[in-house]
Formats: sequence, C-alpha cells, structure tokens
Amino acid sequence: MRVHRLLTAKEKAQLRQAIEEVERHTSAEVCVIIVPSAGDPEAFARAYFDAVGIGKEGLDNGLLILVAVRERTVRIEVGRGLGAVITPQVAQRILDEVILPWFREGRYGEGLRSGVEAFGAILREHFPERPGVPGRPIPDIVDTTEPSRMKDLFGS
Amino acid sequence: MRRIWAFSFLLLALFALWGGITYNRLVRAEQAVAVQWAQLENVLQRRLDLVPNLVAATRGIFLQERAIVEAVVQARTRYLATPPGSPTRVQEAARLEASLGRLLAVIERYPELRSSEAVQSLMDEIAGTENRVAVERRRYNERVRDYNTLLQRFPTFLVARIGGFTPRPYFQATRGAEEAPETPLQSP
Amino acid sequence: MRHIRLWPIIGAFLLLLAAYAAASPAFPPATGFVNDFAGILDPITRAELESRLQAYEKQTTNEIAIAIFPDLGGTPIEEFAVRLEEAWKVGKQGKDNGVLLVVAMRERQVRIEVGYGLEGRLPDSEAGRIIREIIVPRFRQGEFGRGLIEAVDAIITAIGENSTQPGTPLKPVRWSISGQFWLALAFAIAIFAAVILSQRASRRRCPRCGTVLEVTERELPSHLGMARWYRIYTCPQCGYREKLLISRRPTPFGGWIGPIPGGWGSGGFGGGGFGGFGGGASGGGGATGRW
Repeated sequence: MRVHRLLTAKEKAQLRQAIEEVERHTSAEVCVIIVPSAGDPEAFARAYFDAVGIGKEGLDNGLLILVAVRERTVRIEVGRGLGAVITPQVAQRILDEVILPWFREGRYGEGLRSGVEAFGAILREHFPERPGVPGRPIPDIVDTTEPSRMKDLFGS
Repeated sequence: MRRIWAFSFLLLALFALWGGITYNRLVRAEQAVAVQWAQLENVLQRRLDLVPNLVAATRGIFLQERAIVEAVVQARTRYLATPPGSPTRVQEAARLEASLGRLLAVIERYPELRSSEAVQSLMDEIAGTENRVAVERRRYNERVRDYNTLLQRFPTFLVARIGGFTPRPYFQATRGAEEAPETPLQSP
Repeated sequence: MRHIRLWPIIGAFLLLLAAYAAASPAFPPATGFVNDFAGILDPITRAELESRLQAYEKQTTNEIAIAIFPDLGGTPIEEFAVRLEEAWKVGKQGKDNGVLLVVAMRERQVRIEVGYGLEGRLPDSEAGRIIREIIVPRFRQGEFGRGLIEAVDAIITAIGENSTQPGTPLKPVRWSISGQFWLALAFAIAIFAAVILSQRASRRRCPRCGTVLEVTERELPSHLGMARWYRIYTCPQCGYREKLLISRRPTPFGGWIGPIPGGWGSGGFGGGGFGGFGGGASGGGGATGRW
C-alpha cells in the first residue's frame, strides 16, 4: 500500500491550532504522530511516549494520538497524570464516536481536530492551566508520511 | 532423656543432609567443568575445521608466504596426532593458535586478498571462532575456579576429601606469537 | 530460646546480598529492545525499531536487542558484548535465540553478538557482511537510525520469520534446578517433621473411655461455594466422633475477559515497564566492525 499524505497543509495548520489551544488552557500536553507504518502500533506508541517523555516533568500529563496508516490503527496513549480523568473508556469513546467516524469517510484532518478538541474539553475541566509549569519542547505534530519534515523536527 | 535422644538424632539428620547437599554441590561444580570443557573442545574443533578452507583460499594467491601457510598445516596435523585431553594437546592447540595468528596478520597485509568476498567471509568466521575460543576458555577457567575454591573451602573440604574430589587445572591462554618460538621455517 | 535476636541474622543476610550485588558487573538494566544510552536516535526511529523488534519477538520468540553506549570504558567490544549478553540474557532460555547489536560511539565500533541458537542461521560471515555493507557505510554518513533499521531488517531476513527450534547441541547444560530442589526437599522435611510433632502434641484421648483417638482429615463441600477442611477424631473403642473445622476456601470459578482490539483504533495507557529478556546465552559468535 502506497502511503500518500494524510493531511493537507491547511488541515495540519488547523490541527496545530487546536493543539495549541488545548495546551494554552490546560496543563496537559498533546502530540499527534502520523506514520506510514508502525509495525505494532501499541508498542510504537509506548516507545515513542517513553522516548520523548511527553508530558511535563513530574506531572506526566501527556496525551499521544498515533495514526498508523498501513495498520489502519489509531492508538491513544495517556500519561499517568491524566489517567484518572482520561480513562481507557473515555479514550475509547472519543475514538469510536469522534475520531473514527471521520476517518472512515477519509476526512482525517477533521477527525484528528475534533478528537483533539474533545479531549481538550475534558482536560480543560480537570486540568486548568497552572502557571509556572513550563512545557518541554516537543513537536505537536509529527508526520513521517512527509519525510522532508523529519529534518526540521529533529535536526538531523 | 528422650528429648536429648530426639535432639541428637535431629542434629545427625541435619548433618547428613548437609553432607548430601555439599556432595551434590561438588558433583555439580565438577560437572559444570566437564560440560564447559566439552564446549571448549567444540570451538577448538570448529577452528580446526576452518584451517583447510583458509589454506585452500590463500595457497594459490601468495606463494611467497608459503612457509607460513605450511606452518599452519603442520601445526594442525600435530594437534590432531595428540590424544584428546592430554597436556600436549593443549600445548599443540596453543601452537596452532600462534601460527594461525601469524597467517591472519600476513593476510591483513594483502589488500587484494582481503577484498575477495570468499576470503573476507572466511576471515569473519575465523575472527568469530577465535573470539568463541576466548569466551569459552574464560568460562572454562571460571568454572574451574568455582570448583577449586569450593574444594578448598573449610567445611566443604571435608566432604571433598571423603568423596575423592581433586582440583582441576586451568586452561592457560597462550596468546599468539608472543610465546610461541619464532622458528625459522625452511622453504621446500 | 524464646527471644531469638533477629537483627544480626538479617544484617548478615543483607551484607551477603550487597556483596552479591557488588560482584555482578555494572551494566545498566535493559530499558527495552532498543537501549540508547548515548542518545543518538530520534524518538520516531527509536519507536520504529522498538515496535518492529517487539512484533518480531511476538511472532518468532527470537529476541534482537540494540545497545548503544557512549563508550566502553576500555573494554574490548567483543568482551563487552559477551558480558552484556551474560547480564541481559537476550534470547529465550533453552533456545538461546538472541542477537545483541552493540554500538560504541567513541570507539566507533559495532558488534553483532549471536546467541548459540542462531549461530547456524546468522553465521559470522553473514554478521560481518551486514556490518560491512549496511552498518558501516550508513554510520560513516552519520545516519545511525537508518543504518540500524536496515541492519535489523537484514538480520531478520537472515534468521527468518520462523521461530527457533529448541535444543541446539552446542548449548551448555544448566544446573539451576538442583539447588532449588534441595531447598524444597529440606522445606518438605521440615514441614513433615512439624506435622508429625504437632500431631503427637495434639494427640487426644476419648472423653468417654480414654482411648487415643484416631485422626483423619477430609474436605467436605458445602453449598455456599465454600469447601471446608475438617479434622475428624474417631474413637476406635466406643465410636466417639468429633469434627473440627480447620479451614475453608472458596470454590474457584472461571471466566476472564481481556481487552478487545479494534479495527481502526484502540485506546490505551502509558506506562508498563520492560519485563526483561528471556534468559538466552551466547558464546562469542558474531562479528565486529569499525566505522
């Protein structure tokens, strides 16, 4: 299966805006990764999570949305700090009722954006922004279906 | 009175149990040495099997270094002539290692030889085998050390005496050309 | 005898434990299949390798591990790799189907250490070829992630998608069971002795005729889902019986449902540490290269 670009530049900008909006109003940190193939998406998401340490130091309040195109899988990985609010049931519901319906129609940008917004609405209630907790510089969106982006994101 | 009997019986039983356990530990350590020795023989055999291949691959190419190749072949024949497990065999193994090391050093000097795919992969196999010999030799020596210390320690020592366990020799690493005599090899 | 001073015993035990811990070489514990102690891989590459190797392990039970060190502290890489393998035990116990790829940044050296069980499928010449033709050219250009991904692909192609058959003739015999056996035996004897002693102590006499009562133990089911153990005293002379409840336990019932995987997606949580490798061993097989 040939992997083409999942999101247009415009959709990506909108998604970035949505993520920044969530991060401005809550203390959580959101990251979306899109990869052509992840092998085992669960392992991939966990390994990425561990590698970058999504979430602010000590709070562990990261939220990762992994889209593995070849495996046709969306995997949501939630940091321990958010686990009490974003339970697996909550994550599964947002996935099934918000993100995946869009995906099945091929509208990936909309799916991701409304998913981020749905998580944002819950996070805003329970994790209002606390001043003085600086975020770690982690890219909001990583899209390796566009290989040229890799260099900008990680330097090499 | 009965208490004392029961107590001394219990003590005797415990002592017998300790003796049994210790004896078994010694047997186990001795077995580990034997198993590791077999493993070492295994990798030495592997090295031996590689020699004809190496000789065949290099013989045609450099005639001027023929003496070194011949030395390897001779060392192999001498090694095979010694009975397995004897001290002379260990000596011959070291001599073979030394002459093999010289041949490899010579091959390193010939880039056109090194670039050949067949020689290259043969060199990989030999380097891997030399490393295996080093690893298994270290493990063998570690097993011997474990066994020998067990044999010499105080309470175990009593059981070892009764059981007739004797210490085992280490496999000394006679590494390469430093120790082997640099005999002038006569060309045919 | 009543007041046994426990502290010296506990102290001695702890001291022994500390000595044991100190004796083992100081390798960091494995964090997963990919261990980047030098921090040269970007998160995507690391995640890609990790998921690839995890999936491969699930499929074939073969374990391929990557360890990247900033330097080796003066140890030759061959020895370092064998010692690391001895510490991490990459591969399954008995199958020894592990491959350990060690990268030393300062020394600019790389080694593929092959477990006993895979020596046939990944011979030294093949390991050497992978290093020379795939790893070294990529590493020279600074493309560590790409070099490792392609090397892993080549290793997987070489050892295949099938699981390794157990029982390689080269494997040394392990002797770890016997010690436990003796411990278990000693324990069993102690319990046996304790039971006999306690039975002698609890020898009871019939309240009616004074004969020594016979003792039997029996499990009797009850309708509340609990089984009960009773000790039953019977008098052989006059037929006196007495029931004594020892313990009760719930009757087990089955049924456990795991998570259901989704088609387009599945939810999940972070966390969950690495459980360690399977207990494999290697004997110095493999190849070394320098970039």
